[in-house]
Amino acid sequence: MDAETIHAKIDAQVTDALKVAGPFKWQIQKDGFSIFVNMRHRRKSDHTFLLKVSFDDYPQRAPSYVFVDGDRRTPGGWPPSVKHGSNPPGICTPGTRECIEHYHRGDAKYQWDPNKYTLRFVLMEIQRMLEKGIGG
Amino acid sequence: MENHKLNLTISSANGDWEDNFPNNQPVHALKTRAIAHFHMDPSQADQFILTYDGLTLDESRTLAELGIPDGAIIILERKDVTKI
Repeated sequence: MDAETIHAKIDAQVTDALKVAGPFKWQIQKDGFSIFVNMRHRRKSDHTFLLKVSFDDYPQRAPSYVFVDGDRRTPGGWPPSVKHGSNPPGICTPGTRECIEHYHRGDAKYQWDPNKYTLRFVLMEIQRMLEKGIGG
Repeated sequence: MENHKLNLTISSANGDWEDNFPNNQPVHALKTRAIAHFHMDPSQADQFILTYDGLTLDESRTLAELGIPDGAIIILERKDVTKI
């Protein structure tokens, strides 16, 4: 698949997620084949967490979802109770590359499906994990 | 309370639904309609909540009682983290 087509597919995912960005207080930026999402608890805190979603090899492979430090590269700055304990660092929820290819590799229940596990779908799951982890 | 229609958007992980809803409609009824609209399993309705501005809406109250404004975006979301 050529780069232009991949960018169009990523843009469609971002456009769909932006429809609910306001209620969830997400700020979404695209940078090449990655997007960065500033996420926060909707009611409790102004503290934000930066999520990097890497769409390389999309849509053949699930995107990678990793919280990163301010340099936008190094995994870090994780919200409480969101990071999975195994390597590679990631989030164990349906639709993340780390879940599908590592934590639940070979599990027929969590096969990659780009039509089901949209960016919006996975961000909503991560939002719920973030808020449960912070509490309140 | 006088009955008005509110133009609302119900957004879920699976898409958006914009329509007019009576403001005297209880939130529970709105959730039931939304679950049907998005072709979700009605037996799992208890696993979902409706939120507005980050707050869970009391399903026994009406949209008017909760002060939901015209044009609001209501989120249909899972109550708990998905266990895998």
